Amino acid sequence: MSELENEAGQEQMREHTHHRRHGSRLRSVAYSVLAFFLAFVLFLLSVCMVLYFTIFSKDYILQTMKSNSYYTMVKSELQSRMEDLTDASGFDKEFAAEFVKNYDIVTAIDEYIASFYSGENTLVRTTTFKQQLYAAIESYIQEKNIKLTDDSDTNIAYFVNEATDIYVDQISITFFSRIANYIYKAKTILNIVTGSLAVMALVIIGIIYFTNQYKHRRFRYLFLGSTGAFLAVAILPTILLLSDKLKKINLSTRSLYNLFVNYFNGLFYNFYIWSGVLLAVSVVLFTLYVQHYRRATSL
Amino acid sequence: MPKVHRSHKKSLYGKNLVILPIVFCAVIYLVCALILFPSASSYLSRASMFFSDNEKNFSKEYVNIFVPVDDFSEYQKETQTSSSESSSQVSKQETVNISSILFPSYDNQFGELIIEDCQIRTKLFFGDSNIALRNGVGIYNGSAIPGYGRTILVAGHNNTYFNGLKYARKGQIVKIRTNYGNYQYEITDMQVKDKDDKSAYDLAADKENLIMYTCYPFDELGLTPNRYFVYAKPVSGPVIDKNH
Repeated sequence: MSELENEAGQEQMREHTHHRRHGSRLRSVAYSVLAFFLAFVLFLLSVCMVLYFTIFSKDYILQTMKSNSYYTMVKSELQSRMEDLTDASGFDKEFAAEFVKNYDIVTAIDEYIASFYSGENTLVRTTTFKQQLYAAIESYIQEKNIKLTDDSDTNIAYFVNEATDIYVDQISITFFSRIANYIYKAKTILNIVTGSLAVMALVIIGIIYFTNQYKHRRFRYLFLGSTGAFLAVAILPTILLLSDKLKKINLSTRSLYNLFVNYFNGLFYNFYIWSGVLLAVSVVLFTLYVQHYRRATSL
Repeated sequence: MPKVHRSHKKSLYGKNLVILPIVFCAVIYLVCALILFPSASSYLSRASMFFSDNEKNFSKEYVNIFVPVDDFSEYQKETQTSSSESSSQVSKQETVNISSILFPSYDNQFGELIIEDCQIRTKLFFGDSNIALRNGVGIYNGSAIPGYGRTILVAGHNNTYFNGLKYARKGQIVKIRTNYGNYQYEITDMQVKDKDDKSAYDLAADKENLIMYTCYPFDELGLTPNRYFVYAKPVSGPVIDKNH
């Protein structure tokens, strides 16, 4: 009798252990899936944050321009191209140099960037440039005592139009006018998406934190989520930087090329900053996990 | 007891803590690729057009491949000399093998152009870009180089290197020295034409002819809508033998 009872008891124990193990495995899988969703949401949130502070920020491009001598380079290129034009138009070489030196290119570029981010038509305003160029030509004619012909007005107007085309080409940025409208609309959507992702991340963190009985488990799954996000955020710029593709872009001018390369390098460094934040969070979570695990197993 | 400790340690630093984040990262990119690839692939293929194999060179310096050759240089010693019976225009019909010529690339200086009567002595470039016209005169790259038996269309600014073209007269001699031979042309005509007048030149002509042009009127302030064309016929210089 007692042997039979013993056997039944052992059978019950085995079944109970089996159920517990099965339940534990299911729970582990369910929390791992939650940790994956957390990693995904944190990755998307990081991408959105990086985009918000770079591509969608007017200050970011202006800062990139300032710190990489963009204005000086544009001025130098404009001068060189204006010199070629004045060579073909009977002006002294100094005319172009003097005119470009006195022209406020910084305001012109800043206005162009501002129009891009405001959702207006991204156009280079040429009125001031034309007015100042006509004024410079007039004083040049007076200074050199040049005799004008019947065709001079037409020829000078032709010159001014060509110079204005060069100016517009130097100030404008490739494809900016095409994407301006999309950027403006996308910025509103980006705010909503970022907010939603932040809420989702908080909900998943809440579920993991409050539904786990043991603290070490909470931190374990939170650690898995943040580390997955860290890897995903760090890999994206690493692959793009290692491909070295960025440096091989074909852009018409050196200023534009430098701006493009520095702009995207800055974007990648922003990704690294966010991945650094995620790494720091992961280290903290891992430390907490180890502490609580040791505390739980020592009981 | 040590067995339990090992088991705890294994569980604490279990491989899942390393593998799972890597798996998460891989799945994230897989999901992103599956979602984005159908819509992004066409944009990605278009974006690839903006990239080249090498970094772009923004240098404003030009390459000079011009090494002056004497009238009877090594180049011409190697070439065949034939009689000039067939052509009354070309006094000395020498040839130079096409394979022995170092062809200029775009923006290369490969010769010089001299019109002594017009006080013109300038570098000759292949291509009429800003680099060429800033430093000399340039052959339009849709035309031919001297000796090729086609139209040679040379451009220059009227206020700089081609200012002397205003003194061009019929019968004056134009000398072109290149890195493969020296050429002489005789000015036959001068004409003023509209900048868009395509009848001013024939790039499909099957006989050698030199056309130099610049903006007109000379010494005028601003850009002008007319062009001053100076036409010249070949007098001497090696013909490029395209069969070798």
